[in-house]
Amino acid sequence: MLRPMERVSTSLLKVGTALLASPHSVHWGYELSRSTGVRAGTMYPILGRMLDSGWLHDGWEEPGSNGGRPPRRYYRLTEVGIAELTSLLAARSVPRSNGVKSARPQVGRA
Amino acid sequence: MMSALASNWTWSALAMLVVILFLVGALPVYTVRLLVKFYPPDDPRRAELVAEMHQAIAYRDRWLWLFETAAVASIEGVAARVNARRFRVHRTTRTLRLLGEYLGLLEDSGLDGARELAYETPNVGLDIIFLSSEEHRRQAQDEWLAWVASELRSWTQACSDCGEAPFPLPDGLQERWRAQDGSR
Repeated sequence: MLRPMERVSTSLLKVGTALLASPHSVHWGYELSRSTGVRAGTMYPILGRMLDSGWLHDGWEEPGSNGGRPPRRYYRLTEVGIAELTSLLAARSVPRSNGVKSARPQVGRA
Repeated sequence: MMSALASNWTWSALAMLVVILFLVGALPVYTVRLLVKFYPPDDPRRAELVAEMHQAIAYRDRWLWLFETAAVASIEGVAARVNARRFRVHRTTRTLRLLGEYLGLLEDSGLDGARELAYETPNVGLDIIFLSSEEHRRQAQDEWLAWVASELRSWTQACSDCGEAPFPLPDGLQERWRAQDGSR
């Protein structure tokens, strides 16, 4: 059963931005961490929450494709994830364009 | 004396090199393999973190990454273990209920209807439903229904904490069980 995304943090938005930069490509946890600056301790729980919410789906490299090394897990955005993240980032960008400073995202608040 | 000193330096440098190679090469891999033990055995994060260490993390970043991963593994892993335990209980109850529905569908609409239920309910209960489908290939319809009913009954009885069956049983099933008990 899918769980709705309960908390939207700045780190999640950074990861979302990186994922949306190439929405149909596969992404790797460590590469995402490097490209966004989100530390590993935050990155993996975010990826887990996105998986639970149905925004991502995951898969594994073909075994043996890396010279006997263990296969890596990759992530790819789902159509739901693309739609949700696009609207989330759009909502996030509106207050900024109006000159309102907001340290935290306003999504989900009344 | 100079040659002895040079020899000492050579051995010291060699030992230092081995220690450095161990610290940046092998030890982080051992450590991450220990850290992932926080997660339940079937959690994909286990294999993911080990593979990341083997293939992606630069040598200079390994220890920092390990410390961060240690924090998240100890929290996320323990939470995953607790959730897995809860899910097992939930899964048993849900599987029993599904099997009850399955039996009802079998009596109402035959195997095709029961398969529809299997396709509509991914993950939970599928193993049992497919297991019973496999059994169906080997048994005649009546025997197979009796087999599924006896399996359902034994699982219901095994669920001692639940007291009564935790789902509505198909019509007539309990009466059939009582009749079977009476005839013994």
